[in-house]
Amino acid sequence: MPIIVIITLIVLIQLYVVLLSKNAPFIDEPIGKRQFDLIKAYMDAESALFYVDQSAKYALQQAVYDTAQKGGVSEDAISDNKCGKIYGYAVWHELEKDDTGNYIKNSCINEEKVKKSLVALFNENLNQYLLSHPSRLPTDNYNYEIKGSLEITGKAIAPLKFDILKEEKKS
Amino acid sequence: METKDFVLLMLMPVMLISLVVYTDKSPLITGAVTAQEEKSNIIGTYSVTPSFKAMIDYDLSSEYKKVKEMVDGIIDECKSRQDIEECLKGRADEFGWNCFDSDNAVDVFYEFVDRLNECINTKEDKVVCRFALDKRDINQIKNLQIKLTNENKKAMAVLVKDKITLEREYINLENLLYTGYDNKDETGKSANRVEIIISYQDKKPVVEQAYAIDGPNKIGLSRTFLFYKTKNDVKFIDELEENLFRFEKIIELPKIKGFKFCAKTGKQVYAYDKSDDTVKAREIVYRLAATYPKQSATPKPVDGLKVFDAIKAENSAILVWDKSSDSNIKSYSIYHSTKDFADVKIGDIKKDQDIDKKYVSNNPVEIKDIDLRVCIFNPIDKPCKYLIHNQQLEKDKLYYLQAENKLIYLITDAKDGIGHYFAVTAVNNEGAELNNDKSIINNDYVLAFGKNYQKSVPKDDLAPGKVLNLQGQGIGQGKAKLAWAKPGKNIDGSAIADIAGFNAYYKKGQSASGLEKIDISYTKRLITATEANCDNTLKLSCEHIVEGLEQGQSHNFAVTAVDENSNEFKDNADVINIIVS
Repeated sequence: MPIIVIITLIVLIQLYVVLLSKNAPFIDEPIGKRQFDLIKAYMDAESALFYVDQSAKYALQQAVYDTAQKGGVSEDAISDNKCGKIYGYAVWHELEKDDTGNYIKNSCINEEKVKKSLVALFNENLNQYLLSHPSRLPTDNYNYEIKGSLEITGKAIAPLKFDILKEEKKS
Repeated sequence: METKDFVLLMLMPVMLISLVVYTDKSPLITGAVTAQEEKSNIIGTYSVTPSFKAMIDYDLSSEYKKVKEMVDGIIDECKSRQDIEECLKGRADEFGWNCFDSDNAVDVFYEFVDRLNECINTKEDKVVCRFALDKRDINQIKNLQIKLTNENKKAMAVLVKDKITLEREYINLENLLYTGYDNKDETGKSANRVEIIISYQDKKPVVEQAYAIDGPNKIGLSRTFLFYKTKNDVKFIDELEENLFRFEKIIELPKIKGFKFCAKTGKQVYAYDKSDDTVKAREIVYRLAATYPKQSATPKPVDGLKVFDAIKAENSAILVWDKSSDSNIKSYSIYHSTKDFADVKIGDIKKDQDIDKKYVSNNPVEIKDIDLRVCIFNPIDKPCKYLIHNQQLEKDKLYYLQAENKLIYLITDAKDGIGHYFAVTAVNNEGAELNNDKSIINNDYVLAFGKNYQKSVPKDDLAPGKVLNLQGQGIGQGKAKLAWAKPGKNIDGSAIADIAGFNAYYKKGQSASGLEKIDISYTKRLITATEANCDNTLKLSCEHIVEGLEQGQSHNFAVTAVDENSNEFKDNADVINIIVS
């Protein structure tokens, strides 16, 4: 019972404080200003999220195109490709002569490399879009997962933060 | 306070805690607001996690596998082919996979980059890599600039044309080093950048300038593309000392070649491409390459092979085939045997003792024209001279018949009367010739009847030379005894080994002059070697008695030798006159 009394007391004090503020005279801020500021921040965030979604959609198409154009091997991955390039094209097969003079075929590429390159190119393309956003959204901020045909999930490492600003100090 | 108000009041913290838990755990994309002390103009922060999911209707995995399988198939088919480049091109054509994005400036750039990379990748130590840029079918390119710079411990080659960067490519070098001769094996001097300026004049590349920038210094570099390769580095060579490097071990590059595929998938995406600087629907095309050791192309199989019997010659055949315009042909291999070797691989043909081999340099003696069907002996005892050409054909010599653009070769060890198989193959500078491996599908580099493989039966149409020392006398009762010596040669002067008998000619007549010719007025009597009592090879003198002659009359007599194929030459036979008693 004493606990209830104490809680009630606290609540009443709180209510009193709230009522006091409600009775306080209006200053220069319109009613709901802070709420609007909050909604504004929310809208900015939603806009950024939409931008990221659209960017990802375009970046994926571009990445698929670029991956093929680069023979499935991005610039980052080309140093891992033991066969390198010739005429600017990624080498998929190397033919070498064995002791008997017959050609043996060395394959230089596999699906994993292609997927890795797709991710690298996707990230590169996405970064370009993110840098173009007015808020300069953070780049290289994702862990990627590729699934099925073809779905890429980007899990953000750091959140996007939007400051809720006082009106009078907004520039 | 009413109970319901109290309950509501108590629920508030519960809801707040739930909200915190929900915000923290569940959907990634959500917002959270946190208040801040109002010391600055920021009164709070709204944060969201900008995770996303993007999808496209394109199965990367299966499209990649499809392309990979097709490329694998092409490579597997072509790797055993001698015309590997043509095979790759042919297959790429079939799939519509040939690349048509050639730009001369870009091609020159990659030619340089590829050859420099090849030098870097070679396992050799303390050698000089040398290469030259290819001639190109372009009249003029001016001031094509290749710049090499160092970016984060990785060299980058950049192609600049008219001050516009066209291409850039990493090179597997940590430092841009240059060196003189004395310190070549030590660490070279590091350049900030290297610049090479190339122009093309009348299809030939000219390196206008090549220099390294090292701080304030500009050092001239070898303009003949010499690089010093040590175990870990490739160094550009100081132009002033490049001649000294020519005495080092030099490896000529390139040693590898490549073939480009532009593998179309038939799928489209909206994408940007710098070639037209626009975003539009574009086909997804895999641009990839395969490499293989550089080698001179194996000459194409010889065509139009015909085999003629060499007239008026024994055990001989004349091979005639179309002359190829391939300047890569260094020699021809000529194979013949009595057994059919059409399906025997060339390696096995070379080892087979039953197949005769001849190799003749592709340096033929030119003849304007020749009639291989007719020849005359002039003089007798020398090989027959072919009409028009008016010369004999010598064995082991290649002739080029200008009038018909054909090559001619005489074989003199193909036994007469027996079927022989003949093959001719072209051989390049590296000794490569068709492999005749018929287990390879679609292999054109094989022996094929009517093209480079023929069967023929040489005939013996060479008559024995004239009998010697013909003498005779009447021995009474209308008989005359003739004696002569067997000829030791054929009429072309070659050794004879096939005399089967003789023809004795006679007629009643006046004393014979030196110009007397044997004509149809003569009676002919065939005499075997046995009848002439000289069938033994060691016995050279022969004799024969002609009977039934008119007594008391003067008769002309002549004897000619006849071989196993009834070849006989009587134009030069001696005619003697005997009075038959």
